[in-house]
Amino acid sequence: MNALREFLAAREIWGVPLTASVLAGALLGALGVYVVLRRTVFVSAALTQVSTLGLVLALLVEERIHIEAEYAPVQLVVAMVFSVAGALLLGTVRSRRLPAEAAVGGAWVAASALVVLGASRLVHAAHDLGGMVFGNAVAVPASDLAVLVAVAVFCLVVHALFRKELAFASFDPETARALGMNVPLWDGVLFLTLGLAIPVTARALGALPVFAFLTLPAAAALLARAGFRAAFLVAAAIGVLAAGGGYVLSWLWELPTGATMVALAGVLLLPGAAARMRG
Amino acid sequence: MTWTGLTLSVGMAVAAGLVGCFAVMRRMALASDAMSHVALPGIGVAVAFHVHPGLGAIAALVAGTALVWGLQHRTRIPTETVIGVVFSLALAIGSMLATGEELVDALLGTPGTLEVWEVLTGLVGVAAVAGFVLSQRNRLVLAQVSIDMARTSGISVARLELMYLMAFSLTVALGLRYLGVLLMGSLIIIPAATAKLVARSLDEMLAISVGCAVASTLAGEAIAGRIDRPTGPVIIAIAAALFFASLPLRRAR
Amino acid sequence: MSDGNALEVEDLSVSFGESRVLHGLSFAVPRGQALAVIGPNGAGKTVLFRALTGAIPYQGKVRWAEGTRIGYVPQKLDIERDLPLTGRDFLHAKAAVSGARREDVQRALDEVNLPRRVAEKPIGTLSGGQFQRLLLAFALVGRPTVLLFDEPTAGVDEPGEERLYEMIHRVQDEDRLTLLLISHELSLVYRYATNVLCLSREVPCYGPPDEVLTKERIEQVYGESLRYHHHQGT
Repeated sequence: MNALREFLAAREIWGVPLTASVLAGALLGALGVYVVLRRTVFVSAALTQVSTLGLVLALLVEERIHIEAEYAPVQLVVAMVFSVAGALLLGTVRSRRLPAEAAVGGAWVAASALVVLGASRLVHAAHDLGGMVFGNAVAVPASDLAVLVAVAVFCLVVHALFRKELAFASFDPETARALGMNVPLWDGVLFLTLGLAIPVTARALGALPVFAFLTLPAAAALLARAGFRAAFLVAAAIGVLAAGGGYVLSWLWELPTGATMVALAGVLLLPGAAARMRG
Repeated sequence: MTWTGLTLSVGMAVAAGLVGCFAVMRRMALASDAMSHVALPGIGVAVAFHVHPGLGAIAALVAGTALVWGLQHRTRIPTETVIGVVFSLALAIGSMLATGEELVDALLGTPGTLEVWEVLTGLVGVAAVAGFVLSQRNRLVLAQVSIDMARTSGISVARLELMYLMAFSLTVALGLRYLGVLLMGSLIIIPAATAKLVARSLDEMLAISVGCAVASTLAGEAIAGRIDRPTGPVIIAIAAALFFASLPLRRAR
Repeated sequence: MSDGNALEVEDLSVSFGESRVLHGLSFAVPRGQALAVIGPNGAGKTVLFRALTGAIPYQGKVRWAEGTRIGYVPQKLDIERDLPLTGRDFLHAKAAVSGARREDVQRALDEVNLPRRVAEKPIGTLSGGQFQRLLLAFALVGRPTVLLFDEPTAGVDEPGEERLYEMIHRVQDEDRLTLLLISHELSLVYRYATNVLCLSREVPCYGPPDEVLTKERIEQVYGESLRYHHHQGT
């Protein structure tokens, strides 16, 4: 229990990162329901890479023009621009399946390769690829948390106000179109929220945990046969549990943070998977 | 690059070209790329226990693909979700087990010199993959077009699928040392995608895919030394260049 | 299993999770005859075929005659337009897998009137009618004794529909095949089917077309009134 007491005593250090992680877990968990149901799991993978690419490029530019201070908000904005652009491009290409897959695949491969190339050119020790990709939840500036809160509130409002339109456009686009709904517009809105959420949560969790949180909690909620509306709440709850619990455990057991969160999310998947396999 | 190493890398390119055709046809291109990352935890475990990383990679790949295949069949979760799940977990566990440097090595590949036994085992693997794909190519293509029609033609579809996934894993393992996890997937996908653009029959597609993969590998070898860059990315860059060059040659619809 | 029957089905039920799609279905198909299966969407027609071919689990009994070889043509094939596979490749693949001889491929192509230059095109570029004929040829390679055809005229225009049905009928006659056919084209069903099986939630029925395809029955089965399509000048 000593470790736990030590942990609680260090509240000042982990207060912001833990809040950010928990909020990220909830936001991604909920958005993940759309990602999984629309079968765009790989689009979200490509987007996490694109967002990381934006970040890497911002850092490269900073280094090149010898900016010593870390302009965290600027980095975040660049990552968001990349991510939103990518999201709108990839997410709304729905017409023919082959070009869509080629686009997503191309984005994934290109972004990954460029991230690797770019990151190898980064000089500063603090800019490490591992942290960006696998998560570095320990150091989250308060400004990032503020942006995360703002984005989360925005997504919540948008999804609460327009849930019927978004669901309709996502799952029955032909009928929606026949009824005069502007399906590409609603697809765009959905992917806009996704494009915003990815870079802000990646600051706290890292690119790969972001992908995992867009997949695992929603998969767990759907496996547990939650109804459509309930799935969002269940997935968000699982996201919170995995992110928060993972953070605490990683501190107590001295494991990498992002990996622990993902592993915990995986564990929470097991009951649902086991139930489905028996049935 | 010694002759033995060169033989193995050509062999790896042949296997990649063959296997990639079917990955690209079944629109599993992305899934395939993601699945190759499953090797990571295996490598981590292998290094921790001072075992040859290749063995760890193969074990993880086999386990991972068997897991994906099993989950697809028992539950009715869509494939890409299953792969997304397995992929995330594999990376998480991999990053827990391996240190930063080992991870980077696994991701990017560490050419270096190969022992003779490694080359021989590798060549046996190549022969196995090539044998499987070539002898089963008709069944694979039929299962691709329609599972129901394939089944009523007497093909054991589930078993064929499992064996294909195993051949795929073996191919990834063959190239890991050379190209690393991040890029091996690309060598499987890109030459096959190029072939798909221009081929007019199945055998043509297989031939062109293998040709592109081997050409990219040989050219990459030759050029990388000259311009002092790591071999892996150069090979992929050449393969990608071949793809873009073929776009205008696309078969008229 | 009585000698004259190609297929006997007893008390067949299929459920997916909580919902039951087929309930205790029983019928028999004598050799050489054509059975049409009709019903609204969701009534389980494709499910029935998949159960008959063993693709999905079911309860009840499905008995095929000895030596039955099934040629199955499913309803929706999602072919990429640029799949690099020619019609001939496609048929040769079937021949290789089912142990048929090379001559059987040409014979099948002849039976469905697909000329050489069409067979050499990638299958994704074929028109609806050409593609359906290719699928029929595929089913015919390997010399089936039974043909299962799910919506043969999906994606084919009206005149093409008639020609396709005529072709199926001719092939069935020449090769003495038993035919099971899922169709929405009631006028064509009327002309070509020996018996009709209608699947619907309330009123399954079985019998010759002129008994089953009465206006009242059709309204019951489809739940709304339908008009027959009378072709001009037919």
